[in-house]
Amino acid sequence: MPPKKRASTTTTTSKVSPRKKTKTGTGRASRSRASTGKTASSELALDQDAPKHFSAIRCAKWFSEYEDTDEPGVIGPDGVMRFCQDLGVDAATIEVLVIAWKLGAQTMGYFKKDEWLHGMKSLGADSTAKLIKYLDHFRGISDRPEEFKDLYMFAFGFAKESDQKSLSIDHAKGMWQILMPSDRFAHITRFLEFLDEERPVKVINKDQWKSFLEFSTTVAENLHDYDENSAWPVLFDEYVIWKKKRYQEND
Amino acid sequence: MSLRPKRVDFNASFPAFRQELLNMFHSTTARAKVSGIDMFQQVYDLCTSYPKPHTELLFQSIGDLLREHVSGVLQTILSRDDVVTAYAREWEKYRVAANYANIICEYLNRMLLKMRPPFGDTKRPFSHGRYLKLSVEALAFHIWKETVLAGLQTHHGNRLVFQLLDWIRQDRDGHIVLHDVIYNAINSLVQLNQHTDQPLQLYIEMFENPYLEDTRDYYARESNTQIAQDRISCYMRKIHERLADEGARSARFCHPTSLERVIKECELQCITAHHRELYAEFRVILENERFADCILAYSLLSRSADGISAMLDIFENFIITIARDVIGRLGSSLTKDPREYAESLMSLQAKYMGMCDEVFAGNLAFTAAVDKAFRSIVNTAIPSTSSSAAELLARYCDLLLKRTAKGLVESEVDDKLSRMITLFKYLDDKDVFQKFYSRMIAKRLIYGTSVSEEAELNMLSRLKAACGVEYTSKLQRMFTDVTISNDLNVGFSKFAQLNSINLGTEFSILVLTAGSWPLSASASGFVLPSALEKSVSQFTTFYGKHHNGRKLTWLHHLARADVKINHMDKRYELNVSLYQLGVLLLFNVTPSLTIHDIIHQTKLNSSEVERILKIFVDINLLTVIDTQTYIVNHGFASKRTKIKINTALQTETPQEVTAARKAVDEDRKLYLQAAIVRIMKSRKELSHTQLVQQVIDQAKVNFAPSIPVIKRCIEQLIEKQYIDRVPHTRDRYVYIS
Repeated sequence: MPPKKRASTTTTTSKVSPRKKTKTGTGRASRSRASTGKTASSELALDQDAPKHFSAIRCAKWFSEYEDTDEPGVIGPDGVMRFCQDLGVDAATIEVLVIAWKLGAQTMGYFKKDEWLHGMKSLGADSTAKLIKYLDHFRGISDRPEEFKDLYMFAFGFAKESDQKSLSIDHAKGMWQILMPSDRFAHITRFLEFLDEERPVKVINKDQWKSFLEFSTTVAENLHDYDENSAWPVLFDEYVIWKKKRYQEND
Repeated sequence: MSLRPKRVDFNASFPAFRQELLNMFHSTTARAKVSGIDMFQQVYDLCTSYPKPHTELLFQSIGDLLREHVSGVLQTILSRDDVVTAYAREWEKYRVAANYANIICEYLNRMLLKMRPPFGDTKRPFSHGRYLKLSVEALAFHIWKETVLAGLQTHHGNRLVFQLLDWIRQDRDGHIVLHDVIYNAINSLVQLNQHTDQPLQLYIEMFENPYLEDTRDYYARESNTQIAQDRISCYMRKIHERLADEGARSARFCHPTSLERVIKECELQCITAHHRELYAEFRVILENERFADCILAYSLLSRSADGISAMLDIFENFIITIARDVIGRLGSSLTKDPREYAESLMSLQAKYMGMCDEVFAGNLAFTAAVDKAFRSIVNTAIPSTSSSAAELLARYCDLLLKRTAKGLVESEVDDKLSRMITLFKYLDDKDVFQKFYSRMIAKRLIYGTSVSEEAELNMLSRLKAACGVEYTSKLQRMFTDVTISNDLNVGFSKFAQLNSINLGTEFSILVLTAGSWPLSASASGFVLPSALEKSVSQFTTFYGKHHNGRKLTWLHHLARADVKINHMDKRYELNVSLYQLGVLLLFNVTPSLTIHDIIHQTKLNSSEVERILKIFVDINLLTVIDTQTYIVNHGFASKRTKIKINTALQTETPQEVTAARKAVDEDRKLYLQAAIVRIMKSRKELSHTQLVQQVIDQAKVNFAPSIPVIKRCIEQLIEKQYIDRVPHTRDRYVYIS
């Protein structure tokens, strides 16, 4: 391998993960390998840095900045909005969702104090400025399939009402929009269109939720490899029929 | 005569032998002047002479002699115009002579046999010496082949075969030809090769192949002219005869092994080449019901291997079209009166099943086609109505089993029902049938409108035979309830007598098992008329004594009553529902009542009361004064003294039908979920396709579940955490215990 190329690969990845790349390979291949390696290495970096710079006191103080005045020990929706503003991101973005996931937040729009302290500690962040550094990494989670899958499944429990088994269709659609950018997930735009037009369901159950990620990652955009005799939930059968009928001329 | 070997001079003794042999071959009759015993001796002497036996030399000399003779024969044959006759005659002579020569040279043959190496290489017959040293006959045949046949074939334009084929062609065209001569000539080819390891090779190469080719050409031409000239049915008849003729011809002229090949050649040209016309005709024949032609078409088309399958398709589609036409003609009337629907389908089914036996020789494939057609007919939605075949058939049974004014003879009912079962067996949605049937049988039992108990039970046992015990268990239970209730009524009246309770009315009751009957309590309340209160409470006591812990729910809306009207011109007897009775009895106490009074006193809902009042007003029993108040019409008169007041209860309302259909869907879902759980519990882990297949298999007796419905049930069970998808695999489920 010409050394030039290796050097360029290293520089592109080193921004996020400072670990030296020993892998060799041609352009694309090494890139993708680098990106899978990134998960582990960045996690490692966070863990190592955590005890050095992390201060529990600073973190608690940081929490109190956003703490709900009416309900101590909790950051409510207003606090979360402010927190997001300070981070410079919109609340309805994947970064915020990843933060919620990392903190192990149970309910959308709320951070409890113990979730915050524990979660931020494991991230090694005790200030907005430190957390901002991770945002790029969080944003790239859709490149890390295993991690993304965990996040995706977390989102289901996170977004649903705690007393419900399933996710209301509006919440589900919102979550999908956050989680699955249409430039990465081929089916999302049409699928949401299908849900709006046909209104086949009122809620999305866990099985449908889980299956949609698999559907999005395994079935080709033109649906030629979709097997209707397979175990896909009926919702997807209906979607496929709808799409084939509606976009017949395009296929 | 001596067997002792002696010294023989070949050149001296052979000429005499040679002359004798030649005489044999030349003579026209087999028994010429041949000194047989001398010749035996001569052969023996030559073969045993010493110091050196002349075996080899003798054999070769015979060969030379035959060769010389045979070339003469060839010239004789060729000198005739009629080569075949000449050939056949000469061959016959030669064959007989060769046979005798062979017998005479028996000793020589035996010596030859000894001379052959013990593990003789039969594959190379001419390796040692000029001829295959098998026997003199083999030698003679070989020489004939080499000289006569080869001569005829190579130097004279194969005249023999050419003429043979020409004669056979003439035979086909109906001219008279010499059958024996043809047979002998052709058979010679088989005989000639009998001493080789491929006895039929010569026959096949020299005759059969050209013959097959000729047959092909002949029938290609023949069938094309015929089909152009005639109607297809005539063509079929001709071809049929032709094929039979050709079979006989082949048996007459050819070696038995050729028959199959020859017939196949004919079939290809006459049937397969024109199958499109024949199939088209088959459709027309079915439409016109020309059964004789149908038999003909079947016997022709069934000859080719795939001929049947296209016929089956035509047959099946034809039946479907016919049946659809019949159903289409009935229009929407069939919902009201399914009699014609059921009976016309029944007679069509019987007709085409009969046709399978008579026309298609009981071929099971055709029976299956009829089955397939009818399965498709009864399982596709009927365009003109929302009722399904299952519903219609159940209603048809009800019509037959319900006692009506113009009732059928019982044996007739029985006969029709047993034919109905054949249609029933085609139904996928047997559960729909069951649902409707049970509703109707419930009404028949409650109102006692069955033709006879025997007819009902016969029908039940038919359903049981078709679908199993489980299918009819609830229906059976209904019957038992009715029987037990009869005993209960007897017991109750005894009980009343014993305890000297005067009930004031006659009272009879049906105690029905909850769950077995498609009945539910009425939504509207009802206050029991005081005249009946005693009976009801006494019965409750009586029943409670005998069956401790059982709860009685009173279904007043199903009860009926006979009531006498005393103060009219005659004593009328009305047969009314219990609700109607409740309203009527109020007039015993008060001569005039408003709707509100009635609603208040009976606790029935207003629409019910309005309906009841409307009926009484319609028959003039009640009169309305100032819109809201009702009084008894004392001028009521009727021709009959027994009057049955119609109630809506006995006829089906559309709401009931929709409710029944919905109930079927619900039942199916529960059934499927139960089946899935059962299967998964026993199998622990299964693939999607396996599970779906097993569910379909289990449900088959009752209905044909659609795959989306099964999938929905699976999803519901995943949701309820009975089963789950196997992690990291697609298409597999696991049971959660």
